[in-house]
Amino acid sequence: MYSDEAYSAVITKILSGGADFAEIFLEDRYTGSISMVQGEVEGSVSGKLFGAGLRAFKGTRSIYAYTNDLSLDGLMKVADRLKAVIDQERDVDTVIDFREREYVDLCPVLHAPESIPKKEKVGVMKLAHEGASTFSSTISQVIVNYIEYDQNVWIYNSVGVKAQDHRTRTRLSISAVATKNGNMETGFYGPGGAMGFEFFNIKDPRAAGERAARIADRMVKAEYAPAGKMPVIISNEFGGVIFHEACGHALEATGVAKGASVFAGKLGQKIANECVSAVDDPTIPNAWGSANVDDEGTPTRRNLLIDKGILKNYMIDRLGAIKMRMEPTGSARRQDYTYAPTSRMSNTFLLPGEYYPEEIIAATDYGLYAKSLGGGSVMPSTGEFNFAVMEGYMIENGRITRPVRGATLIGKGDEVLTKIDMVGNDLARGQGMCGSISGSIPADVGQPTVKVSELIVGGRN
Amino acid sequence: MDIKTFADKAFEISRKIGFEESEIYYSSGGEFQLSSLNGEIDSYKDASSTEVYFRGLKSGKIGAAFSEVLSEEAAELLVDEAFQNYSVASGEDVYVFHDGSGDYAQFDGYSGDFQKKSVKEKIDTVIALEKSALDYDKRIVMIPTCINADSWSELVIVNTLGLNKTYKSDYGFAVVVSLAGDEKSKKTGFSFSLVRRPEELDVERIGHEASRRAVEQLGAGKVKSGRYRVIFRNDVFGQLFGTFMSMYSADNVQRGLSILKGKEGTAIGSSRLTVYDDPLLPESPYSKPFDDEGFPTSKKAIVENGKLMTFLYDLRTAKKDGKKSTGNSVRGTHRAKPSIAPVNTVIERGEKSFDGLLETMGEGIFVTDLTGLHSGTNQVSGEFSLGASGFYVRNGKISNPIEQFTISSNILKVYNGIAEIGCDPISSIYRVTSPSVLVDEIDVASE
Repeated sequence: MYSDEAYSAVITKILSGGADFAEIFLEDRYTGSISMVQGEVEGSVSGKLFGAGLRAFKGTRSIYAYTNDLSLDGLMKVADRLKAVIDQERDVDTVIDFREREYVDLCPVLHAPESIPKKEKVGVMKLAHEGASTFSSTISQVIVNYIEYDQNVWIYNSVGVKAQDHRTRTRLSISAVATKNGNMETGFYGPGGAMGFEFFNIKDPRAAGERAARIADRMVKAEYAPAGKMPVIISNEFGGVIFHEACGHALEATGVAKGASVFAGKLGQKIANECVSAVDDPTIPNAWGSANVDDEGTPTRRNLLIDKGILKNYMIDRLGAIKMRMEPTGSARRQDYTYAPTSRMSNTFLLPGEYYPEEIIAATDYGLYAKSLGGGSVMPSTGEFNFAVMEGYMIENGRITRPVRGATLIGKGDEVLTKIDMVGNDLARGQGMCGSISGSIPADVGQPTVKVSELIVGGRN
Repeated sequence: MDIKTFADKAFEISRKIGFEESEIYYSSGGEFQLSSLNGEIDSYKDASSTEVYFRGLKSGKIGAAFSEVLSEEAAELLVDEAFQNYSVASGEDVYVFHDGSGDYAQFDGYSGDFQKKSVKEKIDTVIALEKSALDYDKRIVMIPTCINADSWSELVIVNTLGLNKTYKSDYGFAVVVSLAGDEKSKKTGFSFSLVRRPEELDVERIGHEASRRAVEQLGAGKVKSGRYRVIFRNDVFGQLFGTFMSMYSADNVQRGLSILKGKEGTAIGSSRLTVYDDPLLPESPYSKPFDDEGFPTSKKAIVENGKLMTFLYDLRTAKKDGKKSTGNSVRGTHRAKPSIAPVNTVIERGEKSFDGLLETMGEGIFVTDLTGLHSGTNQVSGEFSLGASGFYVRNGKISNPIEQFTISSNILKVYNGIAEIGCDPISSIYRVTSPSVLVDEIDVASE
């Protein structure tokens, strides 16, 4: 690391090309992954990422460059390239007066990834393997992955922001395959947190393995889900991926600022049923998608997106803020220094309602109960989304009856929000990786159990 | 520090720490990307990077680590980290390195033409691209994505057994997403083009294609749930087909994670289906003369007239089955261990024109878009259930656009249900070259 004056010189060099704004993002990250197949360590890979991303704005234009050469000379060369793009020479001789805001660390870490011997991590994986492989005789294959990183970032910009953050992540994921009568089904569970090895003080690896195995075991014994339109009850925790896909992405400034979102221009309007309220909250201590400052150095904050059906806010990064003439919301994120940041979700979830989950099921004559969901995707400009049901059951006469497999749910985000007609009181969050134009980032999804009055279920006829 | 000095240093440390053999995979490259919005440059990316991946071998076990810095200190850390990783490796798999023997094809993937183009020329191209999409039809509301990019990379694989290979490549691509709208609905259309030379980029064709696809979907209706005959558009079939190529990986087969286990030499699909892996396909930017273990690549039939001819191997899985590597070790990013995958999947073209396929089908569904490929597919069982849109086909002619339905089946059922293969192959981003294909009996869910 160099002095503030040195980084100020890099920034003023970019500004001297005519830029309105300039920023330096420095990253030093240790990252490791271990994979275990049938209880044997099959691969362990680790290493260091080390790079810088430099960015300039001119009006609403964004210019981005990155490099692995973090010497002052290397950064100056990149600054020259950015300067040449805008090419409106002017005199800038100020020294930027950086101000660093103090904060109380939201994600303190006890045992950093590098401080724990690999064999202890392998020990945790073995417990997860045992939990899954001994769950049922149908379990034919278990793959356990351990993923961890310790990312340190430094951000400097031309409006005087100086910020530093560390993002430590630990995740254990289990894929269990069940085989029966020639059928194979997979169950997945991947809990994680913004923590070090102490994550396993609160998460039992054996139980995590059992959970993945339970899904595979139930599904291999299931028949295909029926096809067609029907009421769908989506269970809590990872079920929140429906809100993430159907609505969350379309509330990111990335799409909204261009008008390429079904929710653009709808602030203050009713976009959802009254029972729906939702937040994006990167300030939850040690949660998978949390951070102290975002990737532009803006302090993070809880952001109320929908209040009783009314659209209250979007998720906005610095460039989105300029385009939308609004304030940034601390939502700028990126996979690493090879991506320019943009507005992204962090921990995004529906707030709890009044019903016990049992009441919601009892109120449904016929429909699908989606207990665990897989991933999904969306086209924000049209709101068309899809996601996979990993563990499903039929509801008949207000009761859960039999397991069903192979269902995909599709719909349009703006329509589904108005069709959520019951919200449970059992809010929980689950962990996922979210992919978009600034790369793949950890994000929590979450919700209580909800009922959607109708969705298209892609099963078999 | 240059890569040769770095490798020598790392190999020296590696011997001292206790590895028997060592290997360095080095790649450096650059990317340049422009996007346009409303006739102006919206974003600009210009970047360069270096990465090095080290593997140490001892008693058939591997320890791997990576770095983005080339210095003496980095070499120490790299090898030390790899040795820690080696120390937890278990199981019966035996790893080996390649010594550089065998026949390597002559293949030149680098022209340098993209880097010779001025920034001004590239800016003009991306703006022309957006304009061609916008001007196509007055119902085009905007172009949410309009990107023109190029990249180059150089890779070096060197090991203590004498392997020493280098390869340089470059390519360009353009992506356009058009948004069309009328009083009733909004629809997007997508077009993508991957090229080896700048002059191959057909700006007008890409822009028009994205917008035509968006406009054609306006006013889309629903379709009744049921079983249908389906024609998949060439690139869409390639996308579906490519998603399931992991079932040919010998690694998945050996672990019991492939439905093709035990089916070598038997019929797995319609006799109309022949599939190659062609790592030296001239038009593909993924083509290369050796794989990511430095083993020579070659063209081979994976499926011939419906019969499964071979799985795909790297050195470790080949040794396990007493076979030779097929040169299919493919590294995604330097942060993960390499996997086994085809370099370029090519589905052999059939005789029928696209109109001929429509005629043969008579009534059914023409699928032009699939969503949820990363979540709605089970690569172990071959099952899939995906969001789709397209057109209803009546009397052998495209009738009306349809949306919001799903298609569900199993990939081997699709292989067996192939009724006709078109003569309109196209290469896509999914590393698959595929013609349009008519498939019998697909479950469709909607209203």
